[in-house]
Amino acid sequence: MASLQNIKGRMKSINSTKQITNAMNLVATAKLTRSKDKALRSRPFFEKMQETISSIASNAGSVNLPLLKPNNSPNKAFIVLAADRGLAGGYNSNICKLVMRSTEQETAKIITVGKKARDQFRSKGYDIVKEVTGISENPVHKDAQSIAQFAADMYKNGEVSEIYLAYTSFKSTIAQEPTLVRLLPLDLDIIKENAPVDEEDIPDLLLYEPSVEEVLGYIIPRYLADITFGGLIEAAASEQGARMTAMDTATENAQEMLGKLNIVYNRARQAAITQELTEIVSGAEAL
Amino acid sequence: MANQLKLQIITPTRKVFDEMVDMVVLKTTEGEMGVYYDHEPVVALLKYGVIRYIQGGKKVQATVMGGFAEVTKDKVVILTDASELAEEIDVNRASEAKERAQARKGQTDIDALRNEVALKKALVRLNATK
Repeated sequence: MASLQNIKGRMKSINSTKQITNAMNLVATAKLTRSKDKALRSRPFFEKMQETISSIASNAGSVNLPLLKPNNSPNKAFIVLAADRGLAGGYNSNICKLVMRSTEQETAKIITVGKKARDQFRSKGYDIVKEVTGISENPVHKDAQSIAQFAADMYKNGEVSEIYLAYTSFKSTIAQEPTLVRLLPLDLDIIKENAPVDEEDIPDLLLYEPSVEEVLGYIIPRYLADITFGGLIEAAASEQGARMTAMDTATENAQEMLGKLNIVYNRARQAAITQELTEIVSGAEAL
Repeated sequence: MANQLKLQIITPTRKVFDEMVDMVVLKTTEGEMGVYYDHEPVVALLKYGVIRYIQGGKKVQATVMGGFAEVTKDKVVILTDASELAEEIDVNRASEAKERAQARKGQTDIDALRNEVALKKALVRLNATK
């Protein structure tokens, strides 16, 4: 049996770990409230954006725009949104695994957001074409614009034939789901699935001011940036949610271990006392 | 009341406006465009500018910073970077921003494009409160 001293030391270290996880849990909870709020407030915009894009794109027919032209490069670009910091359960690795599962290593061009995603892809030897760090917790629209711009340029130059966005969508505080959406070429089926539009809402003939080319030339890059921004915001909320759940579990586990150790400790203490008593009694008898 | 149409102004961070109005005047890149109920479906690009709408006989102004509008039979949806209703605008802040931007104009060590946008935004905001 471990000595009293040993058990005591073990309990102390578990207790300090518990305090850390508990503090992180509280911090994540506070941050979650904020980022969840943000995610919920921005949702109408993205839903509307998808709806509009799908109604416009299904009407557009053939428009001569570089971003709508398919090219036959074998490469695919992935924008992966993860966190800068760990201790968030499976949050970071789930999203990276999703991307790795859905692509061949040779043809993947990775754009990472967050240190953790960068590290994971780098250690596996993927081709990282752009990395962004330090924005995942509090993303602003400008970040999304520069990422989307970069990806769109790659598409225009024919370096990649498809662009995907991988982010963790925020279902609820305890449920987050890694999601992969195709940004380019525009995937009308997926867009429609995400934003079911009443067929009657889509007019057969749409007028464009000033012209179809100009309107789509403005809207499509915008759409990319906005969807990326939406992904960033959802991911930020998911990160906090995942961290909160993970830290909550960790705190609970620590509590449980402490309880068990406490019983062991008391038993050992009692055994020591009993032994001492026996020794005294037998010593007295011997006299 | 005659037929009304729904006006929605949505930005990435919030829903600014979502109510029934009598008519809307949009500021598109081609010029101003008035929209009543049963307008022809249109997608139009918007300028940095002031839009107006009439609700219950009252004229109200709001700012719109670029973006586009989708007009359907009974609905106008404006998707834009930023937008405020006239009563939400902080006049002091806007005029300070205007002065700051004007003072910086012509300096070479700054992002000229950004400064211009800042000036444009400030002017639009001041216009909307007049």
